[in-house]
Amino acid sequence: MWNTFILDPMINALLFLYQLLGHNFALAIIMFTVLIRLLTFPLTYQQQKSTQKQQKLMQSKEWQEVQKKYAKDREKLASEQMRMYKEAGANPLGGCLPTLVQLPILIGLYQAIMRTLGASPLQLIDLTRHIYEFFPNATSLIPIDNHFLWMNLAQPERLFLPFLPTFGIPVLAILVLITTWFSQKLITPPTADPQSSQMTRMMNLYMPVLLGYFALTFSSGLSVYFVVSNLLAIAQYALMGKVDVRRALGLKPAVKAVK
Amino acid sequence: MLRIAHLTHAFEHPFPRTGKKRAGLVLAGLALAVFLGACSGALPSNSWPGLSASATTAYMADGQYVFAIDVQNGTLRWRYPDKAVAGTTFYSNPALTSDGRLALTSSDKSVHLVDATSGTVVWRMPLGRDPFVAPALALGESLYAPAGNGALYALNAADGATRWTFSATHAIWSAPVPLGELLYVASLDHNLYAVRAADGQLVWSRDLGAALAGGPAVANDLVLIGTFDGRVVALDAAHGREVWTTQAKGWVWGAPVVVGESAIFGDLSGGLQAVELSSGRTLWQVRLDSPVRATPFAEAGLIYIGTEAGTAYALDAADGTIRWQQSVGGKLYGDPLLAGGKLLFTVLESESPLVALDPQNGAKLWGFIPPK
Repeated sequence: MWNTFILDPMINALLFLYQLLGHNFALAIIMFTVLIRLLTFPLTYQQQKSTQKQQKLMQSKEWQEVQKKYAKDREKLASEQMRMYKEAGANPLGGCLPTLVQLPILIGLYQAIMRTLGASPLQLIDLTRHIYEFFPNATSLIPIDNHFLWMNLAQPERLFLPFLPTFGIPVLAILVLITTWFSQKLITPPTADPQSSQMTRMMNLYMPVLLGYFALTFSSGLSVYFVVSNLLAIAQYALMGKVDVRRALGLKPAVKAVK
Repeated sequence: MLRIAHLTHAFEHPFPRTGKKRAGLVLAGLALAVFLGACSGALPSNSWPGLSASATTAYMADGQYVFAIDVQNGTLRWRYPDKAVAGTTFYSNPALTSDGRLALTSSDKSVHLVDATSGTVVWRMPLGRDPFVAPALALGESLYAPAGNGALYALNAADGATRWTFSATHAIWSAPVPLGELLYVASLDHNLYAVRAADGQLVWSRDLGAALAGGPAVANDLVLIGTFDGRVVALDAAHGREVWTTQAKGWVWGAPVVVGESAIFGDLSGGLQAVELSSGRTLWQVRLDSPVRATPFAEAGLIYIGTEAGTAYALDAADGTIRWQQSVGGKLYGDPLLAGGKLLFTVLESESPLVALDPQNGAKLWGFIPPK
């Protein structure tokens, strides 16, 4: 089921793009990420709208008063919050469900990239099971040329400079870390609730570190995906006019916390 | 994944404050688990155990260790290294040198030379920036180590110094095969190269139009090689001219084995076939229970081969009649060997990565379980 509907189409699409784009697998990953972003745009758009409604609601005076009023009665606070969500027409799960729908697509994409690269004997054996029989000249495409600029897309990336031959600089891991942090900061709405605010701060710290670690450890093909995906997310929000760069960079105060 | 902050944020308010943190943590944990699961396939150096043997000892490369195992009873003699080293794995067939040493290629981008009796390291030579997949070839006083970056390194066996380097344009996943003064090198770049063993000079190369993951076989002045698009091609060993081509139903990864006037090979569709060495004409073919990755082993008129479904077979080399078959379990991707009267199979995804069978009837004699 997973292979038939997610993995196999993605692997064959990546191979098709690779063939189309002059046997450049990095370009195939970039193009594929763009296509996936376009396909999931209605979902991310809906997600952002839902988040904005929640954000607006949480910045309202009424919301902050309720936080203060029922600070010691958690059950009452929860029921009041639910009432306010209902009245504002905001679905607290509205931002979550589209994300859950996107997850299989994202996981499939990671797996497809790894399998298509066929960097080890077992991966290459596995790849043979996923290529459509009707794919023209598929065998001539294998193995995928895994070189792009200074990188081997099947290996963790390091840049060795002539004056620093023994120390490889993890350029992509640094880019992943920066773009993830920046996109998180741009996209995450400010919140008045101290506990939510703390959670957001933690996520804004952990996610870039986690993805940066993956970029440091796993194949650089994945890192290319992370960077492109982050840049597209930033661009998408910028095009929608929702990016607040000053706030992201800490040049503008966040929403005042409820005491 | 970049929406986890939203996800937790969206969930947090409907919960009472006591459950809020817990809900967020559960969601973050779930997302992380999904993410890690998705990335698990990314680990490099992912292969099946490698195997070689003397008359008394089997040498198995499996993950972080190489094990020396008594072929008579399956007991451990030594393992190398004593303690696992992070980032160092061994999967290729260890190469036995004529002076009783083992050349090991590793994911740590190095060649290790180890004393075959004691397992102590003689030298370790870092080479290039890509992990090794292919085994080395030990020939006289030289070692020939093909690398993941397409380089073939010729080393002095005594000290590991590089004598020369030959470069293919993509990875080499099989050991070179010698014939006379030449080495035949198969590369994933679709080419079969004939290289002079003395100085690494290219004598000829032939683009076969598909990846060559397995090694070639040489016999009767022919070089035989299987391709990713399911062909076995015979080339004139001296000049690389194509003599004949035969088609299989799946990718031919293992090298053909030559028995008398026939060449026998398996393919990933589960076929095993014998062709006439002089013409490529099919002599017989049989269907086994699942894909065949390995190079068959021939001895005394019999062919031994394992399949992906974990079945070991003995077939009559003359007509393909199955003499016996034995379910071993796991996946039998590795090349079988006969040593000390025992038929040895490495097993992927099994508690016992090495098993010994009776070559007469396939009865299991012992299974080696690596110590923790």
